[in-house]
Amino acid sequence: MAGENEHLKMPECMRLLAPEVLGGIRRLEWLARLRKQGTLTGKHTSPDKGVSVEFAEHREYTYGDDLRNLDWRVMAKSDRNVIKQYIEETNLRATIVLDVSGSMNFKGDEGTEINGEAISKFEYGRYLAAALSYLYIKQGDAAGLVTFDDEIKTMMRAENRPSQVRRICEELYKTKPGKETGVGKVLHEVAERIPKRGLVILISDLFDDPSEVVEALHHFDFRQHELVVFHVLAEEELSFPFQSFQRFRDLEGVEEMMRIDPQAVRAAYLEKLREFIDSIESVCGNLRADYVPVTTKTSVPDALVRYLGRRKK
Amino acid sequence: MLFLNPLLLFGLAGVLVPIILHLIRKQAAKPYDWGAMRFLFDTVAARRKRMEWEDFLLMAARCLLIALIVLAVSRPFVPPESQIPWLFVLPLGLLGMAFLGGSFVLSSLKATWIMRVIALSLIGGAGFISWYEKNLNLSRFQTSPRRDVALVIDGSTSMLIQTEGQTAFSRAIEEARRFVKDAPKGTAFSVVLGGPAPEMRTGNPLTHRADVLEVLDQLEPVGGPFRAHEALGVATLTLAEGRAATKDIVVFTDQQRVGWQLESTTAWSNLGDAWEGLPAKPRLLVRSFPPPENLRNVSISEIELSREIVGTDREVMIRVRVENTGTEVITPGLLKVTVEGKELESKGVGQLIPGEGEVIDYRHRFTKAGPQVIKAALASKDDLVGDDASERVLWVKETLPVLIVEGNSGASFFERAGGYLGLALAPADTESSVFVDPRVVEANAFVNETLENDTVVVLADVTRLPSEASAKLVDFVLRGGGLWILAGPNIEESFYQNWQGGDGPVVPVKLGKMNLPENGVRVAQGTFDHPVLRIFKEAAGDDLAEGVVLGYRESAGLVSGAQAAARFADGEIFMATRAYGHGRVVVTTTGLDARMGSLPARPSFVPLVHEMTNWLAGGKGVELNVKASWSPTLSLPSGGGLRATYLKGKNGEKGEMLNRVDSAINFNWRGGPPEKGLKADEFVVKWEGSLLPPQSGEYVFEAIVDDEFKMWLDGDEVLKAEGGTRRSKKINLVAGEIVSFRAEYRESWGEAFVSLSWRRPDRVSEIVPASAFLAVVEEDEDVVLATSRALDPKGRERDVTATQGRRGRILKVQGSALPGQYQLEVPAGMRSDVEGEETLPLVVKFEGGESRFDRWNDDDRNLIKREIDLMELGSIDNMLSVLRGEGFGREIWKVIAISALILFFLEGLLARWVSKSRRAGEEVRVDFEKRDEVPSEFSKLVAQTKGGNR
Repeated sequence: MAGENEHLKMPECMRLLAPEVLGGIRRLEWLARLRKQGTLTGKHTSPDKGVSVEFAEHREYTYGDDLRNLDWRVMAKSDRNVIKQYIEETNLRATIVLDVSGSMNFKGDEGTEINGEAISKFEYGRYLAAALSYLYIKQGDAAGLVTFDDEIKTMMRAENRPSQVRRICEELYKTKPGKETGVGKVLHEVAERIPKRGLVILISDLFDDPSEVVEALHHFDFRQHELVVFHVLAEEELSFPFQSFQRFRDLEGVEEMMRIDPQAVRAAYLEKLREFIDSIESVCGNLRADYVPVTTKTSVPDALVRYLGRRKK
Repeated sequence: MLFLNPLLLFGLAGVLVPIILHLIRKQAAKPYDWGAMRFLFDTVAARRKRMEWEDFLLMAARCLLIALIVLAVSRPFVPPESQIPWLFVLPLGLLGMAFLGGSFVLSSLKATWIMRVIALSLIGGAGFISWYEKNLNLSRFQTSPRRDVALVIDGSTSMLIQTEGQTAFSRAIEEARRFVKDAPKGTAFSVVLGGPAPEMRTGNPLTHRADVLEVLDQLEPVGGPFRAHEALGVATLTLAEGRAATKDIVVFTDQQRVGWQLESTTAWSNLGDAWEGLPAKPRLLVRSFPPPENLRNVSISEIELSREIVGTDREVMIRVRVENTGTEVITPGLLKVTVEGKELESKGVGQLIPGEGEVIDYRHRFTKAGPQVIKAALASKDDLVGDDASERVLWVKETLPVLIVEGNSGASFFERAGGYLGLALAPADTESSVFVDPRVVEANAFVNETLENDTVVVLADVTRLPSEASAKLVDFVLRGGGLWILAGPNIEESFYQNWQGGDGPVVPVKLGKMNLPENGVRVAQGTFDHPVLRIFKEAAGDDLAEGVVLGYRESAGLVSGAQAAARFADGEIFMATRAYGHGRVVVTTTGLDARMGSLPARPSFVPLVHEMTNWLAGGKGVELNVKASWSPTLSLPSGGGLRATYLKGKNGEKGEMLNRVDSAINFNWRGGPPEKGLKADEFVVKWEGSLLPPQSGEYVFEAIVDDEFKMWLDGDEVLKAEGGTRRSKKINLVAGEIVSFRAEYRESWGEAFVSLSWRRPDRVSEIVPASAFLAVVEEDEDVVLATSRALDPKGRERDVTATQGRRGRILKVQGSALPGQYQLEVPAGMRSDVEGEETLPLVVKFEGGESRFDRWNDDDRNLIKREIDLMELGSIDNMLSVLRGEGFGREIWKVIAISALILFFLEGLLARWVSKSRRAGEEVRVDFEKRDEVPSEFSKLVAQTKGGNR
């Protein structure tokens, strides 16, 4: 490729997939493929065995495509960079459901730093969502996006066109953090609107009345979705490291500022939090959903590795 | 509570420091955006209450700690006799500060403000009470740059008790010296030595310390009682001379009750009034030197005689009472009694427990008449020597002359009124020394009697007496004579009923008519109530009651001041007595002769007559045993009369010739001169004195004169008579109220006579009796009539002055009345009053109270406190603090400091416990990512890929 190709110019939104975020994406791709092979995927086992599959169509080469799939003959013939796309038996329709409510906006100091600043759960979720959508599209699956706070904000149907990644990134880039949360309620609606029997990847802190959350998760199961729960929390939320008096301002906007002596409430807070986490974990276990606990401290690649490397229970 | 460093109390603002720090911490907390609020809510809600109270306690403890430290540093003390229960008020105030601090921790608005209100009211209350007490005490402890201090040192006998080798007196002097040296600048001191009479040892208060110290060094104990009350009076006088604004009286004493006049509220309120009169009300600071707990003291409390009148005719019993007035058992040992210069047989006194006394009897027959000194002394040494010896003077009489005035002389012996009496009194044995010497005169002849040498007069059924005679008799009794009236059938009731003199009605009862009961009446011995008759009641059995009295005079009642000594079986009075002037009067309502029954025939009759006569004679004479009052004083009783000055010349211009006391203005010199040295003609007599009216009402004076007579009452001329009889106008006089009297008589030539009589309000006319006159004019009381000398018990010479008192002349020994025996020289002109004696022994009695150590009780303190601010101080340092205005009291900073220390440790423990309990079982972090373990093989793969970069 001589000179600058405008196809190679990267839009802003693609920042979400920048190397500083994802590190070596290749590794991830490889891991993703590993996941699909063998018994690492769930219901949607893909009998993908190597490359002997039916040719489907060509599509434009985009950055990051595997060069092995490059259709040299077309390139030679038409001076177009195309890659072959094979029909893969993929009934994997992944919908990434991202919580953009107020509580996700919590930043803290311990989160992973991107461009010198620690990121909030919300941002973390975006990176995660972007990466996941790329991975799925890359391996030929369909990916879609749902964002919600106290209501569904965006809904993108899962599609496997290569441009989907960009479109998802654009959408993610546009999204701003919302206000209130009522995770449980909204998730019911989400479960309904996503076509049955899909893969739902929920990225949220799930801060709501645990029983409500549990019910919502059951709903996904009822709709025969395969559920993956990325439970995103901040380091501070887990360790409550505060020493002196703090005034806590509620991001969810429910309560006004509270003046608390952190020492006094720490033990009980952590207790409560643990109970909460336990309950989420246990319901995921009951539903045979993937429960992936990540903190913003964990780098996004590591988080993906954890997900991808899981053994299904 | 007051504070020695009150300014440091501003440090209480430090209590706000923990509060402010707390507030800053709360405020400084920046708001932190937090997502996981829901997990905090429940937590906070659940634990809030408990955490709040823990924080409350900690905060309260910190505030309290600071408050305690500040309080301790400002040196609080509780002033003496504080009314406020600081045991409650102080903790409550501190609690208030603790609550105030704690209130800032609470979150509930209601609780916070309730707590704050409680706290502020507690703090405000404590603060107010403190301020209030400060004001109360402000004047107490106020400093002023200049102050007058009167130092009163108790020089009484009890101050000679030694503790650890030093007498209380010398300790007092030591402390007084120290006090003077260390007192703040601007203090002026006056020194008063207390004793029987207080001695002012400095004039105006002195500021030059060296002078004061010199005065103190010269002080010596006086002995005798400590007349504290009088000493305070003198101290007040010295303070009034000082010029400073603040005044204090400091008394160094052993705080014996005696002498402080603590029974008399009037005495103290008088002092209180005197103190009000000073420019500033003084304070009374008392430094007491109590006697040691173990006091060995025995004293001779009394020397008594078995008879009042003692002659040389027989023995008398001398009774010496020895008492243990200490707190320890003591054996007094030998008691030595000396009489008439010779020692009687020594007798030993056995062991006495505290409070116990014993009477030792000695029999002695006096050989010489006149004043004799009996001295009793204990040989052993005890802690207080001053009361181990005692004296008493006894005037041994040579004879007891009795004059019997016979009112029924015509009758036979046994029916003569004075017959049996005279027989009873007559000496049994004419050869041995005679004591009672009875004479009998007929009533008519009584007028001629001078009564100069008689001791007792008996009016045996005398009808009446002429006024001159009766006036003379009244005067006789007033001067100390005894009068026995036998009211038989012959008496004229009206005379006796109306008989009046300088001390009121002479006869103890109002005599009525004769009563002759059918079968007679007997004397009821159960009714005997008289020192003489009591003996008969016990000893004589029913002897007197055996006699039958055929008739007696009814009495319409006792005169004021009289007592019924004995009654008949039917209740009527048999004998009545009264003291009259210096003398005594007895009336028997029946004649003691054969007409009136068989009483005189009883065996007990004779001793009865003797003892009654003895008693009647008791009034006469000079009392030579005097109380330890201001200065030893001897009263020489003399009767009434006027000071008369006889002058030569028609107008008295040729000078004074004679100065004497005339008992009445009733003279008939006929043609001759009144006295040798004056001419028969051309002389003037001036009388001066006071008139003491016996009754209230209208008086009319009458003068019968040749040549001229003038009379002034209270400076007004009320009567002028020239040759002949003249009456004055009616003049109103009040009984007992003295009016000054002056009269003048001129004799030109020829006959010379003058008599002044009056008609009394009860219509009785008589020569104005001597008893109505006092030979003293108001201003005379300070006029010194004569001087002489005396030796005091310490052998020092003292001056003696003679002045004219109301009831006779007074010999006063200058200086204070040290107990013991004095030898007094009698001035020449007065020896006739004392039977010619040239020197007299005078004994100042040792006041028994000095031997006893009754100390002040709380009632005494309250009495004193009503009049003056009293502070009893335990040490000189406290006294100096009072002077400096620091106030003093129980300092309590130590208690507070220790409490603060304990609290400090408690707070530390509490804080540690609280933080531990809050951290207990704390996780560092909720277990999260580890929940899903990545399979190990995969981890290895991951690790491999990480290295490479495929």
